[in-house]
Amino acid sequence: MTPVGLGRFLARRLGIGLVLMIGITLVAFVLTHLVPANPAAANLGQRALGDPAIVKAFNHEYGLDKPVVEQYLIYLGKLLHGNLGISEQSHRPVVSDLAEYVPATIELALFAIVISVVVGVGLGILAAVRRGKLIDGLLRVFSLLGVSMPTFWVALLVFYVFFFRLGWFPSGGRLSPGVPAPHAITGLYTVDAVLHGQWSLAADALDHLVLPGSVLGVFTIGTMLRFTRASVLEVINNDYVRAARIKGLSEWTVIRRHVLRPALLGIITVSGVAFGSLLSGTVLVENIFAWPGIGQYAFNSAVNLDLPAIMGVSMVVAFIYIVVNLVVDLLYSVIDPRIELR
Amino acid sequence: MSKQRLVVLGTVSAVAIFGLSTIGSTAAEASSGRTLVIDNSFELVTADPGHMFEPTGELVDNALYDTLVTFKGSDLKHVVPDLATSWSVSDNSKKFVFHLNPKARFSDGTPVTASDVVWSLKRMVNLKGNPSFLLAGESISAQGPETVVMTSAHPNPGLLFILPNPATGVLNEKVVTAHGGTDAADASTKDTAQNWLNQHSAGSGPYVLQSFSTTSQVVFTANPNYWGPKPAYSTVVLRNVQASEQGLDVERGTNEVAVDLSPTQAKSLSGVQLKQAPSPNIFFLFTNDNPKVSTTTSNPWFQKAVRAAINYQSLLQLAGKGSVQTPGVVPTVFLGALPSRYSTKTDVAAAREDLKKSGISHPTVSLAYPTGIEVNGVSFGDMAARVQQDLQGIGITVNLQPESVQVALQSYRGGNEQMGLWEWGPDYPDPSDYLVFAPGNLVGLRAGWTAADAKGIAILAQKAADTTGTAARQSIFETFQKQLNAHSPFMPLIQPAQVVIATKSVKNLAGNGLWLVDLRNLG
Repeated sequence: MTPVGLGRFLARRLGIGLVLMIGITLVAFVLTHLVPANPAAANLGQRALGDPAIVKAFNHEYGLDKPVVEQYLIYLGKLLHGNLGISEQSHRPVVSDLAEYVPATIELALFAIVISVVVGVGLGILAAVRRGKLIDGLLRVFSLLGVSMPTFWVALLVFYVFFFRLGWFPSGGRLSPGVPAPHAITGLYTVDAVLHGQWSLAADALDHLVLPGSVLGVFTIGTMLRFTRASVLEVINNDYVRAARIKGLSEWTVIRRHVLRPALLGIITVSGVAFGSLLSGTVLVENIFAWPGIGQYAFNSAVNLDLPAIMGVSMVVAFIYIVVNLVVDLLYSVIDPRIELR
Repeated sequence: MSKQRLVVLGTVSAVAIFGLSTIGSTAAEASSGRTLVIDNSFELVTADPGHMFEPTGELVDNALYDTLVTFKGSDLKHVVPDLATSWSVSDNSKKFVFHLNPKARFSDGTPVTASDVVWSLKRMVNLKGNPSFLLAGESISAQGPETVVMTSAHPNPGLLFILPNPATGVLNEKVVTAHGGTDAADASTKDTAQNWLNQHSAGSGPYVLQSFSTTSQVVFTANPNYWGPKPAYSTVVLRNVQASEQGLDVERGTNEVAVDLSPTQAKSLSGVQLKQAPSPNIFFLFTNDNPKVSTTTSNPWFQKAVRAAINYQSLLQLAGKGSVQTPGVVPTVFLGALPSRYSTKTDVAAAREDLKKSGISHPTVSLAYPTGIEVNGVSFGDMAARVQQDLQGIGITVNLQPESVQVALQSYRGGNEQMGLWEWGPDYPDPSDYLVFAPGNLVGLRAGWTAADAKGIAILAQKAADTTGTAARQSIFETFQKQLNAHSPFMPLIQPAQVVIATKSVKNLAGNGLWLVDLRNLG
C-alpha cells in the first residue's frame, strides 16, 4: 500500500466520518425533541417547577425557549468549538462528564475484548482442531449458552457466586472504597496506576475489572468461539495445510502460521463489531457492578431528558464505531497484503 | 496447543489473578482509623446546600453542615438544638429568635456567627434553586454576633420543622465568598461557588468533603476541628450501589450500612442488624374531580365507592413488614397525623351500594401511574394491579395506563389523568406541607379539585396554615384530614417501610426519613 494511497484512504474515511457524525446529531436531536415531556419538569424539583420565574430561568439557561431549528444550529455552532453544552442534571459541561465516564467504559470494554479474544479464539481453534470429538461438542454448547444467557442474569449470578459466596472478587466500583484514583493520564485506572508505578493500586483496579469484564466478555466469547471455529474449519482442510503437516511441522506451528493467518480476517471483523456492541451493552453490567461508565450516564440522561448529555453520548458512541471500523479496515491491509484500501 | 501447555497457562493465569487480588486488597487499607461504608442508590446532584434538594444530597450535607435545629435518630416529631442552643417563638408564629452556641466552629477553626447563618440562608433563597421555597417569605437578620431573627408576614408555625433540612446548612461566609459565593438578590446569575462546593466543604459539621462524584462515591473524612463530640469514624465512604446488591454487600462487609432495601429483600439476610419503620412517603390514589376529564370519576358516589372498595391490607402485604396504612394524607410519623382509628376501612358491600347510587352503569376508567421507579422498594405497577383487581371486584373496569416517569409526570401535573396512582414525599416533616392536597392547591389541582368545588375545605386549609400552637394545630389538621377522607378525590393508601441494615459492628443505627440514616450518631 503506497503512502499516497493510504493518505487518500484516510482522507476519504475522515470525510465520511464527519458527515456521519453530523447526521447522528440531527437524528439524536430530532428524536429527543419528539418525546412528549419537558426537560424543565424533569430536572427541577416539584416546588421550583411551580415558580414561573425559576422555570423561565432554566429554559433560558439551556436555550429551550428558542425555536427548535435555532436550537439545533446553536448546538452545531458550539460543537465546532468543542463545546458540547452543559448537562441539565449535573450542571457541568458535558465534555467533563464524558471525560470522566468514557474512559471507565473503555477500560471495561477493552478488558472484555481482550479476554474474549484470547479465550474465544483459543477455544474456537481447539474446537475446530478436535472437530467431532467430545470437547468440540462441549465447546459448542458453551458458546451457545454464552450468546443466549441474558447479560443481567449472568451478572447477578457471577455477583452472587464470586463475590458473595466465595469472596474472591469485590462487589463493584472501580476501586476499593475510599482508595483515591490515580492521577489521570489515559483515564484507565489500571494503565494510569502502572504508569505511575503504583502497583498495589493497579492490582486493586484490575481486581475490580475482573467480574464486570468477564460478564461482558461471556457473550463475545460465545460469538468468537463459533466464528473462529467456522473460520478455521474453512481453512484447515486446504492442501497447503496438509502439506505443512506432512512436512513435519508441529501442530501448533501449522495452526499459527498457516491456519490462523487466513482466518484472522474474519476474526478481526467480528472483534470490531463486538467491541462496538460491548460499549452499548454495558448499561446493565455497569448498573449491577456500580461501574461509573457511559452506559449508566446514557441511561440517566435519557430518563432525565438531559438533551445535551444525550447528544454528547450519541456523538461519542458514533465516533467510537467510526474509529473501530477504520482500525479494522487498516488491519485488513496489514494482515493480507493483497487487500487494497480505497 | 498441547494439554500440558494449556494446564500450565491456566495455572499461571489463576495464580496471577489471585496474587494480584491479595495485593489489591491491601490498597484498601490505606487509611488509618475506622472506615464506614454506606451503600445507597444515588439520587445526587450537588453538595452545595443552596442548590441541594435530593435524598442522597440530604445525607451528604447533613454530614458536612450544621443547621440551626435538627432531628435526632429517627424522631421527626421533635426538634433538638444544633447551632442554636435555645429559641423563642412569638404567639402568632410570625417571629422566631435563635440564640447560637458560642462554641460552634467551622472546619477551619473560625467561629460560626449569626452573620454566617444569615448569609447562608439568604443565599439559598436568592439562588432560586430547588430548595429556595423552604424559606420563601421569611425575613432573616442578625441581632448581634450570636442571635438570628426570622420574621414573616404570615404565621409560619412549621418553620422549626423546615430548618433541620440540610439545604439550610450554614456555610463559612468568608471562604465561600472568596470562591464566588454571594447572597445578593441576583445570586441566581452571579453566584459561582457551586463547582467549588462540589469539591470542598465549608461547614461546621462532623465531617469534611474529601471527594465527590454523583455517580460513584462521596468520601468524607473526620473534621479535626469539630466542636461537638468526636465522630466515630475517620473516613466515611458513601457508595452508589443498586438496592439489589446492597444486602449482599452488607452481609459480607466489615463496617457497612445500606439504606434502600425493601422489607422483602431484607427478610432473606442473616447476620445483620435491621431497623424498620414506616417511611414518610405516602402512596395515594385519586379520581379526577373535573367533569371535563371524566364524568365517571367526578361523580361523588363513584369516589366513595372507590374509597371503600380498596383492600388496604393487601397493599400492606405487598409493601412488606413495617409498612402501615396511612389514615390521612399526613404520614403517621409526623405531628398532625390522623390517629389510626380513623383509617378508611374496606367495605365491599358499602362500595357496591355507593356505586349503584352513582347511577353509572358499566363504569370504565383508566388508571395512570409511572413506571421505572420504585419507592422504598414498592413498584407502582404492582400496586396498580391490586387496585385494579379490587375495583374490578365491585364492577368497575379499570384500564391500566403505565407511562415512563417523565411522560407520566406531564399528564399528572397537567391534571389530565382520569385516575392516578402517585406518591408524595415530604418537602419537610410538618403537616403544613400536606396542605398541597387542599382544593385549589398544588396536588388538589392535579386531581381537578378547585377551590370553588369545596369552598369549606379551602377555607379550612387556609385557617390550618395560620393556626399556631401544637395542640390547636393537631386538632385542625385532624379535622382537615377527616374532611378529605369524606369529601375529597384523594384516597391515601399506605406508607411503605423504610429499612436500614448494617453489619453488627455499627452502633446506634437509626434510619431517618429526611436524610436516610442518622450518620452523626453512628458508632
